[in-house]
Amino acid sequence: MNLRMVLTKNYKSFLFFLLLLIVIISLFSLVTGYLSISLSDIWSTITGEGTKRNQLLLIEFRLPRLLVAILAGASLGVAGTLFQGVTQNELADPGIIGINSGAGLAVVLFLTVRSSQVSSSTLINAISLPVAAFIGGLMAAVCIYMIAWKKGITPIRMLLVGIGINAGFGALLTMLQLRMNERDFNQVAIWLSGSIWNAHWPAVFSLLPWTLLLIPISMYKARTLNILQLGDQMAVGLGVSLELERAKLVTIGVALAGVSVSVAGGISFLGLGAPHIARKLIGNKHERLLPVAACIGALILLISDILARNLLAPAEVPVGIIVSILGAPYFLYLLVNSEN
Amino acid sequence: MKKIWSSSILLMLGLMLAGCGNEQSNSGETAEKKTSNNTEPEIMTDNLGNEVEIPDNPEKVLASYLEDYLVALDVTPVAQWSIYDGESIQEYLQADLEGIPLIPHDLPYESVLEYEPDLIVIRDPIEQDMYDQYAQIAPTYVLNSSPTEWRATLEEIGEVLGKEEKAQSVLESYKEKAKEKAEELAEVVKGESAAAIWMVNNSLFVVHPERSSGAVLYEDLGLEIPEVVSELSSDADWAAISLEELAKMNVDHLFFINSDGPNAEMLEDRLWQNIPAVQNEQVYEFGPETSWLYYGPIASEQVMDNVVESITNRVQ
Amino acid sequence: MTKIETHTMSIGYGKRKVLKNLSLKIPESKITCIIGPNGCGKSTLLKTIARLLKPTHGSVTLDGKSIHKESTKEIAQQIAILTQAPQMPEDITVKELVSYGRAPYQKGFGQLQAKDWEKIHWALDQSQLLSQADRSVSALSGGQKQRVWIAMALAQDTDCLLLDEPTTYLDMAHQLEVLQVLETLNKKYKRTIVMVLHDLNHASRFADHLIAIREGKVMKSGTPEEVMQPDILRTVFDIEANIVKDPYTGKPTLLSYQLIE
Repeated sequence: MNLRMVLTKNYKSFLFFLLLLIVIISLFSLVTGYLSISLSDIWSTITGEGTKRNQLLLIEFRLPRLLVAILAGASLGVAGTLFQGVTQNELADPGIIGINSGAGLAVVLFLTVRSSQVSSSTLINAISLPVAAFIGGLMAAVCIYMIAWKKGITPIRMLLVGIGINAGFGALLTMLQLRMNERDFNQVAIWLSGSIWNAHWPAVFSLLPWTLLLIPISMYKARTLNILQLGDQMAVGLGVSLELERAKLVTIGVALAGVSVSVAGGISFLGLGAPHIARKLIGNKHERLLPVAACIGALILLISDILARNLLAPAEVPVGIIVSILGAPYFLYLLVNSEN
Repeated sequence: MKKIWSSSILLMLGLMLAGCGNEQSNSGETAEKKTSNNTEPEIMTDNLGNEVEIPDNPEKVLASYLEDYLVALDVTPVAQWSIYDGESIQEYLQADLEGIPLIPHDLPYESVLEYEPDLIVIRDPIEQDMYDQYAQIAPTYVLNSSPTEWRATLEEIGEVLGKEEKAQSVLESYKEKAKEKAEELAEVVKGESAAAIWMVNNSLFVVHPERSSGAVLYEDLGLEIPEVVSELSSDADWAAISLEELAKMNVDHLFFINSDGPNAEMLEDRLWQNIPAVQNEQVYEFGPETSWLYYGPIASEQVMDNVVESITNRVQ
Repeated sequence: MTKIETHTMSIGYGKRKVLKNLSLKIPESKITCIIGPNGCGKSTLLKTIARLLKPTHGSVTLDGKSIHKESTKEIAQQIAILTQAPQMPEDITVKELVSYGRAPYQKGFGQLQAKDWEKIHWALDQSQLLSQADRSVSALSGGQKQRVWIAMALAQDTDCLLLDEPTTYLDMAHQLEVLQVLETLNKKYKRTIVMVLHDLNHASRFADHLIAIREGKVMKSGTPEEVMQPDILRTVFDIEANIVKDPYTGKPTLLSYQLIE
């Protein structure tokens, strides 16, 4: 593909362009919304001369939300890339193999077990929710490994078993929800479909350390991911400890997907679509694919969030729904084009 | 490559520092406000355990779905409850709330910020995280009293707004009026029973004897509870009831709240038409714009007026 | 130099043993070809020697140490294997794919050092791919693709190179190209080469040592002259072989064959 070659040759410029795009769309995100605020308002707020209303609007509401969208989008983009690399399947996604349901189930369990009368400190929440989600996702992964293991785990078995696990956890989650009162049920339903409504600074700080740690670690694994693409046997031939490296990559992927779920709820398609789009643009070498997938994930979630907040303002559409709406035509387009 | 990573991280950090810097200057502002007031700010502990600093004379109160109480206390809210953007509002209060802008019932932050309230009163159970965000806009108080206890709610809101005396006087005058109306009714329909039935989405519900308009009928006005109603075991404000069960109800006065409109399917049903109260024309119909489904001093008083008017008209 | 040996090695269970009790020594710095009919276990043998498969009995040793107990990364620095039809990634350059061969030596974030580039360059040169280095692999012909895989194996800079049917699916000229690259590697750089070959005449022409396998057992091993005999070929391949001496190479060549009456 011509485009891919061009972008690959000019990779650094392309990456810079993507980052610039993120900044520009971020500014756009800050300016749009139910309440209006202009770029000059933004400037005066940063320099400390804004009105209290603008300060609140910008610093307390829109900015953290923006950062959550970027961090969660990037994390999910990278997580999807890792899963697609491990399963050697372009259509893999932490969502379809049950990682997101596992994480979601853990978070919902954690929240319901914790008495709502005792309002726990926001700090405790910020630390414990991602951990709960990580553990939930890990449980799902462990279930997959236990069922699919047969002297090792092949990509196709991982996928098939994962789909079953996803259904299982989904069912458990539904059962749990049905025992809730209507209000909680609705809350969980909204959260599960992906909503950054609650995005505020604690959420940002909750997500930030994980993202800052795990994305560079994923980059460290880029070479291993490249080699896995050559097939299991060639990978071993090149000195990769197959099962160990797979397990490491799955764990990193689970962590990234899980913590995103803990903050932004279940957002499907991103883990699948961002790497997919990135691969179309920049090919399969993970040193390039990972950063681009991160940027594309961030961009998709940013744009979806802008739409989510503005389509029916002041009401909000859960951002996961917007992502799905954006994603569906992309896959239809792929389907139509795959005939070639 | 590394350069791009570090500059993006620096950019993010820069933005965050701007945020922190502003947070600090925010708290600086409010600290100043505190010392410039001469009176001690009142501190009340709300349902979440927060110690809320209630402003002295709040002028822009936001108390979504609690407007009944505000109106009773002569307080005009800065915005009123609605489903989304006006799909549904509290019709029965519009006489006093006409012209008050609407706010969606889920209180999106930007909507709340738009109205710049100086006091927010919330009833619903709410996450601490969400509470913190509302509290950034204005002192936010989560009610301790239960939604089914309108008198306790009125007293609590009265306390929050500094209108304890007014709250008491509202309670007193309601009590007197209830006594008066109960005596009036007793002269005309002593010992007769009543029930309130609500039809919505082609389903029927009957009011719990201790809730909402039920409490008005039985506790305030002294009407009798039909057997079928007292045997219902549901704890909900409005308990589901089938048409068959309703047909078996032995009731003298049937107050019928119809949310399905005059063309409702059930009205054509033979079972409905065979209900004794229907045949005897002892059904009094009210629409969803009345206060029968709500709680509060005003809602309860309007129900009282509706009941007395209906019964005395019929007797005449 | 690396010494590969198998010791009474078997793979498979009960009646379904793919390899039976094999004890082999792979001659160092020589080209060894494994031949045999389909399903005889030649691929399995190669993969077991490369530690991709684990024997059920016996062992494979590398310099006296059991290959399955060593770290896979260390082995990758001594043995390179090219399996049949590996998955070629799309849209990377020849140079990038060949650079994957340096994986067993890379540390940290995987920045390639000067020494790595040296080896990559050498590998590209040996495979006559220097002019193609920056082309996308998907733009290459079948023969060129196969040479890229070989270049990647070369970049691994191992004493031993194992190849599973490296010439199948290639057309005649490309087949010879590939085999000549391997021959140079052996003659000039003294690498030990073990390959599974389908074509008997190629095996005879290029190998120093032939191993003929049938049903998991070694029927005969030795020089091409020793192995390319009608009675051996009859036992191994169920054919009546007509062997002549190639006028160009002097090696025994299968001129024609008949089915056994």
